[in-house]
Amino acid sequence: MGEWRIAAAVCARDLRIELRTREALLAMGFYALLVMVIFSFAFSSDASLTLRAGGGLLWVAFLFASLVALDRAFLREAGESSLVGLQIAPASRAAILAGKFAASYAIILGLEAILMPLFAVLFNTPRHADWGGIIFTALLGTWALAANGTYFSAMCAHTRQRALLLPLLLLPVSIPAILAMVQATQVYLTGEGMANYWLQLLIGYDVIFTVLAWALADMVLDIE
Amino acid sequence: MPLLECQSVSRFFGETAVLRQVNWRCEAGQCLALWGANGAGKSTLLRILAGALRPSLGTATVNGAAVGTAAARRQTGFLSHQSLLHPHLTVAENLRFYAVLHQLSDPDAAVTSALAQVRGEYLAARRVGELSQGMRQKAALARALLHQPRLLLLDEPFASLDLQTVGDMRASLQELRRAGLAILLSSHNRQQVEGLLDGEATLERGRLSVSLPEVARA
Amino acid sequence: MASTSSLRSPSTWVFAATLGLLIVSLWWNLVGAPTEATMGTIQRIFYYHVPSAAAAWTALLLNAGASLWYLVRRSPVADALALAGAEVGLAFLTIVLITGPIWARPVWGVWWVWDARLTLTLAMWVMYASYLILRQLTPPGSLQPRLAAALAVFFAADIPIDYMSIRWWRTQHPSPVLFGGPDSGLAPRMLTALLISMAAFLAVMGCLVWLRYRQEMARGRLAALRQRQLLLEES
Repeated sequence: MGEWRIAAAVCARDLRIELRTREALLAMGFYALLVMVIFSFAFSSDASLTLRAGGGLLWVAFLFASLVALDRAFLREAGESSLVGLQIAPASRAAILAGKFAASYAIILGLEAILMPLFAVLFNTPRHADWGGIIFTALLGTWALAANGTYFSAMCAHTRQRALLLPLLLLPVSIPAILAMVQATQVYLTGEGMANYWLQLLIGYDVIFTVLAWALADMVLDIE
Repeated sequence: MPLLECQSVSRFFGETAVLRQVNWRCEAGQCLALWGANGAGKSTLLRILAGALRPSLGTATVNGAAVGTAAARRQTGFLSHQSLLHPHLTVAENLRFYAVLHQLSDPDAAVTSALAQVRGEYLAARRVGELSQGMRQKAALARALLHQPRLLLLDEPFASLDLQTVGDMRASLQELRRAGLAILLSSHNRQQVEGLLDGEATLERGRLSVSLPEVARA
Repeated sequence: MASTSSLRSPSTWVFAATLGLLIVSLWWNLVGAPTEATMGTIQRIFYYHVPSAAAAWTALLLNAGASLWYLVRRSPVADALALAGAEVGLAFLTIVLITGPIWARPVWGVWWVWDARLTLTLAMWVMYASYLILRQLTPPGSLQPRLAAALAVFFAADIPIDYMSIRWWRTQHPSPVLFGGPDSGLAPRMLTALLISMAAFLAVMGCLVWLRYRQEMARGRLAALRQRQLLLEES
């Protein structure tokens, strides 16, 4: 269908730009790494810390990096390349937004793939940690952040001081998802407790907000 | 029926009335110039006609379809101040992207044909960021022509271009005019548009005054 | 259109009645209601804290409904109501977040706990503050109401999920048991004071929303007239 082609083209273009530029990707990576290093300074790297707060640590690092990636989603369209090109094309807004979401999702997942092993090493995660579960949680959780993040990033593209507004809009709305991500990761890291409720919450959250963003896509990529 | 019809279009930016009740029309095959001092509202008017900006009041239609709708956008090509091409991608990559966005059945053929129309085939594999002003303008014109629009809107197309590129672009526009496109272009330099025009209009303090059409010189 | 400058107009009566209700409520809150056994006089903040929350929630519910209506109908009335609801709601949320800790500190020994209600209230405060910031930063025109309405609908969908998830989290990690909660053992006269205060605050909220709504509609009409004037001058 035409819409999927458009979404795929937008995604491919955005990924190509990021891979050619690389500076944004590097900035994100260093940002997340820095957060982890600072945490390790603040607390000694004893095993009990990882057990008590590992989920939170990991996701704070990912959150910082995600905010950079999501801001980039529309920062890319600045200057010569400008949003106008996307706006005057007779293409479905939802398809364009879907493409941008897919690109951000891929970029953030890529970053997580690199940072998770680093985290395991730096914080001495227990041997019995369920990495399959952690990865599954990351897939669902990142979806939530990227879906809402892309939508709000488009919303902020029309404003000045966009970088300030994006975290303000994104974080409170993402509370259920962040809570679920952190708690589920914690369960998988320590082996204590049940992650089922949190995963169900994440899936439900993903569905609701993806549908909402799809339905309201026209609002957010419209002309002045 | 005129291809482009503009009825009482007004546009405000806060307290400033940039366009006041602009009435204009353009037929297929006509090339019209839009004159006006800097800040007179030429870019604003062209953006509205391209569907990139909403009019505050009034209506404009392209072939009966209101500007800003998908139907109108499919028939309109817009060359703006910005090239709308991403500097880190090649010209071909940029154009192919827009071809897919316009849902053209054969994007690659459209890209080749558009580049040929602007005499810019040699630009295909070059990164946009490395191009000179003239080459970028040609690539931008190719982008505007990709979907074979019926109406072409050009915002100061010849600004800061070298003579060679101006010549190439004039030749392209002359061909498009003969092919039946309606063309609206804004400019500061009479010399550059000599021989191209079928009519002209001037924007002054937001109001448009249309001059009698000049005799077309082939 | 009734002139609101006349002293006989209906709105003046409503404002007067609200003022009366506030005065009556003040008496009940400070004198009429008995002093609570465990907490003492500080407990009387309760009669301001809870009704503020009720007023905030009602105003924000109005914002959600009006925003949805705007998305369907694009009516300027809907947009004005949404804006009024958000501003007044945020103001009352601020009162909730200030009176809460003032009450909590002497009674519970802590300024703040991360339980479901408080966390949600704080999150909502940030949400609606950012809603107003978004409206400020977007150029006025047709874009601002659309973005704002979409954002409000996101918030409305999110808030119930927020509450549920934080609640579940708290059942997994219970916070210290705090006795003397707001609903524990309400004497009849206390209940009366609470209900009167509730009515008073809701009335104040209604008046404020009404005033802000009319102001916003007037601003819109003024802008339209100004545009007509700008078109006519300087031919």
